[in-house]
Amino acid sequence: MLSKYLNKILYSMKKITTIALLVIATLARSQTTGMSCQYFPGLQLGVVKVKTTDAPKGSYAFAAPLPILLFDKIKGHWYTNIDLSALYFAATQTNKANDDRVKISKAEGALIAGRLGWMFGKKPDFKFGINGNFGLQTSNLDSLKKSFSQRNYFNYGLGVLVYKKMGKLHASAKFGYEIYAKKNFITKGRGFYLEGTVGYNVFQKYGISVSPCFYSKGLTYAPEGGSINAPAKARVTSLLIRFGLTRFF
Amino acid sequence: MKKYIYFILTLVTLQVTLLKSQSVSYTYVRNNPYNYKNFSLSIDPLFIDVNGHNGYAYGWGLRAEHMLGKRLLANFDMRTGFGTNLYRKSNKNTRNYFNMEGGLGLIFFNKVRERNVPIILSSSSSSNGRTTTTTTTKIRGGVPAKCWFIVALRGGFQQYTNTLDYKNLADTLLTFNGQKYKDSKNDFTFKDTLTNKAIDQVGGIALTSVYGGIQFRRIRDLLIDVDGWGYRSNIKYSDFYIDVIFAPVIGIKNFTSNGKEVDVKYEKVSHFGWRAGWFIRQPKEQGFSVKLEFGSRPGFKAPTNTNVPLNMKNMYCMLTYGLYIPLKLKPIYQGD
Repeated sequence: MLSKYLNKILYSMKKITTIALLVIATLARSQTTGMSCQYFPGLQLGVVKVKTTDAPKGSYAFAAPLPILLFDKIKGHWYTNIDLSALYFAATQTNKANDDRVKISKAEGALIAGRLGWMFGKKPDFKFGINGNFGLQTSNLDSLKKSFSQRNYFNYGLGVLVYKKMGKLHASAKFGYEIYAKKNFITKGRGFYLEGTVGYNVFQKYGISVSPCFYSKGLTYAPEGGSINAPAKARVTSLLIRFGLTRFF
Repeated sequence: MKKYIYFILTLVTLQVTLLKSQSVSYTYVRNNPYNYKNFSLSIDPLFIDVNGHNGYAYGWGLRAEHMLGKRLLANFDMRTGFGTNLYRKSNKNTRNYFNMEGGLGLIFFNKVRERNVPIILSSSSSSNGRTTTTTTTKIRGGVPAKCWFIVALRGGFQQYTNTLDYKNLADTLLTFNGQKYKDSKNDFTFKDTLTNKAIDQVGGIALTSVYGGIQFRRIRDLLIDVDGWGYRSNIKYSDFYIDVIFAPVIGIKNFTSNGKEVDVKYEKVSHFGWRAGWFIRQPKEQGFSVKLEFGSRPGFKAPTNTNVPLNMKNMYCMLTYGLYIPLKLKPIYQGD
């Protein structure tokens, strides 16, 4: 009887030890490597396409806003991302917003959004991880001129990422799935993103990075001045390439 | 009554800070102010300038500072507005906010001295809903640290443009084609003759200046390992400066109304101004840099009948914030 209990206890202890070892191995401090893409501000080139069933608006495309305000940092086991690109772009348009110099508002993406993730792997030159996303975003679904008049919605999501260091070259790739929602505006919203980053260490700890990105959002929403009971559907796709200063670890 | 007592209690205790000091043992990890990077380039995505000329302007900027060897400092600062208040009121009469300056400093005092600097071991706040108490524990008497102190004479050039709101300018000194503003503000100059609608009473200003002053720089890089507390630091790279500004050229932009250009003048200009400022970064690590500046720009003298000989139209306060990259560039001074 006693040996039965002892066996059980020993078996439980083995399990606990194995799990503890696994956790310790995962959380063990690897040599701190990574890159901090500090697009503060950075530049981007690309195109944003809006295809909507809201008849008067139809389909339209515009060049992606040039300035961005974005941090994307992988350091040690942590992954953090703060994006204020659409908000910053809207602010940069203040001087132009009242006259005919603005054909269409180009604000697309995060007003304020963030990602937080954890990266696994003991090797300093290769890591992979998962992240959670949350924030406030905007899309020009109403074909407006003024960025600050655009409506906004929340995003929630999950993502995976991978990082690789090859001498002076650092690379990362990210994929994520997001849900978009806002009462009386977005009834259903789903989307995904693909981001790749290649950074090159130029001088001391600093260099530049290039980041090609693809975003796709499918939104069911109440058209401007319309009812939530007669929703329209929109597909917003963005194909971008970003450039910015980067710090390497 | 209870509500008021709670409110007063909250206000009083919000500011209550309990300071605890204690003796601890520590070992030096770093204490060398010469372990620094002598060049920094900062990209400021956002600055805000609150001023008398047009209320406010915000935009982006670039800054650089370089310490060349033991004797020379160099500074550069450029800001341009993307949100200039009142700028959109006219396509012809207003100017966008722009400021660019660059200068050199000659170091005449350059010494490292040992000073006791404060080290905070812990700081915590607790609240019971009505009262908040902050408890700070620090090393009694501070920790001796090598502090590098630099004093320099500095000078340089500055170019500034902005939108100018005529409101609050002395209406007896401001003239339009020789006519006093108090007389012209309600006549045809500010009325569209076709629509009979009012024209916004805003213009533009440009200042071309030289400045000269004194600059104080402090650098310290103290990192200690405190028994039972871990690593604690007091790291600083900060500059404080005071300048006198002389503007030989004060250009008030002519006003265009109904297709005609009106000559705008201010009868009592002051060619002198002043400013004080402060900017801070880390000696070695990359991070974020802040610059705060305030003062009185050259421009408009106050009317003689005012009690305070200070024209609020010239006053300003500017705050800029950005990411900087520090680099070690030759020539670099790292002690004799």
